[in-house]
Amino acid sequence: MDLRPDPLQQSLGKAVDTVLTRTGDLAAELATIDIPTLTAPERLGGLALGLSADVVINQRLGYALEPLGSHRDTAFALDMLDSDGVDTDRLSGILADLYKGLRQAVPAGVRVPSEVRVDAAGRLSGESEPLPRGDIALCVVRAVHEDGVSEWHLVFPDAGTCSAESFEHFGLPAARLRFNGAAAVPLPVPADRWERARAAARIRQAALLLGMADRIVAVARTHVNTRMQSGKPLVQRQTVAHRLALLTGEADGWRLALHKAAWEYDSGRRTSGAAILAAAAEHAQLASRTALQLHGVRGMLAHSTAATAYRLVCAESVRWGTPAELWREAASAA
Amino acid sequence: MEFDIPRETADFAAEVDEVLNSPETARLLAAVRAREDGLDGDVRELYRHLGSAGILAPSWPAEYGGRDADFTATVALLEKLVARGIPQNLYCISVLNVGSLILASGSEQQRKTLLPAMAAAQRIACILFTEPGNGSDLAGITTSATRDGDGWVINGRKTYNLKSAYADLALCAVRTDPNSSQYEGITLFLVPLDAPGVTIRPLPSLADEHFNDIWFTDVRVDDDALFGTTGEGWSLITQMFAAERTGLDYYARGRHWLDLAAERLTAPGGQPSDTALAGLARHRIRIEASKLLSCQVLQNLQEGNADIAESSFAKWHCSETAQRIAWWALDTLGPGVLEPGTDAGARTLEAALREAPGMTISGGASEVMLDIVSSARVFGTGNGED
Repeated sequence: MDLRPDPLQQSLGKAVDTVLTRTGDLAAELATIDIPTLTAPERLGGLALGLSADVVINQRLGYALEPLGSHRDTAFALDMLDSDGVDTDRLSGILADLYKGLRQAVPAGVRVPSEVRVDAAGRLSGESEPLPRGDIALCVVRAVHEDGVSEWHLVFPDAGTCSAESFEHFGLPAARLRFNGAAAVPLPVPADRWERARAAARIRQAALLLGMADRIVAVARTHVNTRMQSGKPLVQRQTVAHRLALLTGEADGWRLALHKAAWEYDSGRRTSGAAILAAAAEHAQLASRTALQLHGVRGMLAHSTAATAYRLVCAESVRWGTPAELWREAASAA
Repeated sequence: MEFDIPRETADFAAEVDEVLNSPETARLLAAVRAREDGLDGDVRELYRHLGSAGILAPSWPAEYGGRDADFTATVALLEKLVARGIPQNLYCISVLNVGSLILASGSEQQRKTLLPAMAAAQRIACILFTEPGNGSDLAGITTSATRDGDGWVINGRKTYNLKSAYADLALCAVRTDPNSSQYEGITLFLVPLDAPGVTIRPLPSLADEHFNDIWFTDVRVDDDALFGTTGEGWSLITQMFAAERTGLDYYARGRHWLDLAAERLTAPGGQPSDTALAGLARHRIRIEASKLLSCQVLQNLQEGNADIAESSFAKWHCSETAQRIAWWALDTLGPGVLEPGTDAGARTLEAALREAPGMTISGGASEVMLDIVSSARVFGTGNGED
C-alpha cells in the first residue's frame, strides 16, 4: 500500500495545470498533451492508462472550475464502444477528431430516464439530457421502443435529422440534442459493459466534484483570512475556522477513497461507483454552500468565484443521479 | 497510489488468525470477559499469550521484539484483535503509543530493556498526562518532580487515566522547572507504578473501562526513569501525539460495530428500509475513508514524516465516524441494542453505545483536533486564491 500519488499521477496533474493556464480552446489544448488518448481504450487507439490517471485529470479540471463535460462524456461513450463488435474502421476518422479535441462524443437518454423513442424502422425521435456545447461527432443513445423496452444505439448526427439547441442550464452553457427521425445503428451493449462504463463515469464525476470542492475551500480560506470584521479576520472565529478545517480534512478522506475506487476499477473489481459519487457530491455541495455563507453578500454577486462554484456544483452534483438516488443504489451493495 | 496489501502482511494476518482462534486464546478471553477483578477485566495474561506468539509489535525492528513489517501489518492486527473481541485499549496505549515513542526517542538502553518486554507484554505501560485541572491543556501541568540527590521526587495527582491499574510503568508528564515557560518546564519520566508513594483508585465510568485517579506522594525515581532530557517533555508529547493520533483503534472499533449492525440489519427474515440501507452504505464508505486516513498517517510515520495536523484530523475522522456508527446502530436497530441478552455481538453494540461518547473526548477532544487542523491548514491565505 502506498497512499502517495505515483509519479505518473504527479506528472499528469502538473501537465494539466500547465495547460489550464493557456487561453485557447481547452479541449484542443488538452489534446496537445494527448489527454483524450491517454485514458481511451486500447482497442480504440488509446493508451488505456485507466481511471487512476483519469481521476487526476478530472480533479485538476474541477479545481480550475473548468468542468469540460466533453472530456468525461467522450470517455463514457468510448467505454461503451469498447467491444470487438464495433466497426473501428468506420470510427477512425471520428476518433482522430475526438483525440484532437475538435469534436466530442455524448450520451443521450443515459443519465436520466430516456426521452428518446425508437420507431419500427429504427429511427430515433426525442431529445437528450443537458450536454456540453460543442461539435458532436457521435452519440450513444438509450432509446425506448413502443413496448417500453430500451436498447442502445449509435447515432452519427447529421444536420437533417439531428439538431443541437443551446440553452442555459442553471446559468451555465449547455446544449440539448434533438433527434427527428435520426438514423441509428443498434449497439449491442451487455449489461456488465454498461454497468462498468457507468461506474467509470461516476468515478470521473466524483473526481471533478472533489476538485471543485478543493478550489471552493481554498477561495473561502483566502476570504476569511483577509475579510476583517469587528477588528479581526473572520478566520479568528472558531465557528468559521472549524467549518473550513472540517471540509479540508474530509476532502483528504474522500480523495483517498476516490483513488481507491479508481484503483479497484482498474484492477477489474466490480464497483458501481455510486457510493463515492454520492459522497463526493454531498461534500462538494456542502463546500460550495459553506463558501457562499462565509463570503457573505459578496459571494452572492453574479460573477463571484463562490457563486460560479455554487452553480457548477449544483449542476454537476446531480448529473449522474441525485445523492439520495445514488445512496439507495449503493445500499443494495452494502 | 497503490492499495494492495503486501504478501508478508497477508501471511502475518493468517498467522494472527491462527493465534486468535486457538483454544488458549478463547480460554483467556473468557476469563477477561468474566471481569472477576471487578474492574475492566485483567487482560494481561491474554496479552502475554499473544506476545509469546510474537504478533503484538509487527512494525517494530526485529532487534526490539518486532518483525520489521510495514504499517499494514499493524492495521491487520488491530482489525483482527477488535473483530475477535479482544480488548485493545491497553495494547494500543502500551505498544502503539508508549512503545512507539520509546522506539523513536528513547535511549538505546531504554529501547533494549523495555521494547522486547513490551512487545511480549511482559511489561505494560500507560500514559499519565491529564490532571484534575488540565485535560486537553497539558501546558498547565502541575505535578512536580524535584531534584533530590541523584534522583527525583514526584508529587501530584493525575486523573481520568485508563488502564493504569494494569500497567507496570507510566509515561508521566511532570513540571521540573516552575520558573520557566509553561512549555519549557515539562519533563517526561517512565515511572514504575509499584514504587512507594503511588496510589491508584478506580473511578467507574459510563463505558466498560474504569478511569483511575493516581496520586504521587514523595515518589522517588532514579535518573534512569528520565525519558528524554529535562525540559524536553513538551516536544516529546507533541511528537507522541502525532504518532498516537493515527485513529487506527477508533477505526477498527467503528468498522467492527458497523459489521455487527449490518449483520443484524440484513439478517434473513428482516425487511430493512431503504433509509436504513442507505445509512449503511454511507457508513461503509465513510469508515473506508477513516481507514485510509489512518493508513496515510501510519505510512508517513513509517517514513519519518510525522504531521500533527494530519494525525489530528485522522483521529477526529475515525473517532467521529465510529461514534456515529454506534448511534446509528441504536437509531436503526432499536431498543434491542439496549438489552442485548446473551448474544455476544449485541453485547458489543450495547457496550459501544456507552463507549461512543468518550471517543471524541479521549486521546484529544474533537474541538482540539479541529483547532490544530485550523492552525495548520486554514489560518493564513494559502495559495492566495480569491
